[in-house]
Amino acid sequence: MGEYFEYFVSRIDAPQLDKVDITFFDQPVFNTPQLHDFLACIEKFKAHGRGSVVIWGHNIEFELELGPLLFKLGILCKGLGQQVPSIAQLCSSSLHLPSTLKCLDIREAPLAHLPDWQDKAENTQWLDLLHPFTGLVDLHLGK
Amino acid sequence: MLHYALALRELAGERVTKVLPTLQNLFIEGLEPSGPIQEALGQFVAARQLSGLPVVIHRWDGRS
Repeated sequence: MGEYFEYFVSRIDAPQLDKVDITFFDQPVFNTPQLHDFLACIEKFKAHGRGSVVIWGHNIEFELELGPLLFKLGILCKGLGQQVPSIAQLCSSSLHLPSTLKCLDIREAPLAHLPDWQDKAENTQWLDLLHPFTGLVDLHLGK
Repeated sequence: MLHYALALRELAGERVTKVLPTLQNLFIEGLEPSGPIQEALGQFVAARQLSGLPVVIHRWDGRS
């Protein structure tokens, strides 16, 4: 699956894209050099914008608003204990933006349902998520 | 519960200058007068101040 995804992305040449929405199921592909190159070619990706980590319960999403460009990277799997490390690794390995992003929100989606049985992410896992954002000036933590 | 805010107290240690080195403002939604979140934020703010990387805490309405 990882090879197919990388091959598929390598065949796309669309520097004027306005929306990119990628969702991984259960086992994200972390070694994604083609995805990194694909995103690096999108001109709008080079702008400074606002990022959000949105917790939905059944999935977690990293969203970027860069002017007209909306970028979403999601992971659909059970439990924050798996979701947070996975999105952290994808953000640091596939995106070049975290180091230039100035503003980041972390929040639960308005209708998110986080059952008691859902395992929580460890504190260190949340810090691993924040670690690539070395240029962050404003951090918003929502309910 | 802002469980992810509790992670900030881990930054009161030696990682305080390694994670979010340029952070200046921390906006918190639904900030209560006291509790574990406030304790974590207090430790984080104090550590940042001592490290010469001060952070200002703001209340956030969750929209702007």
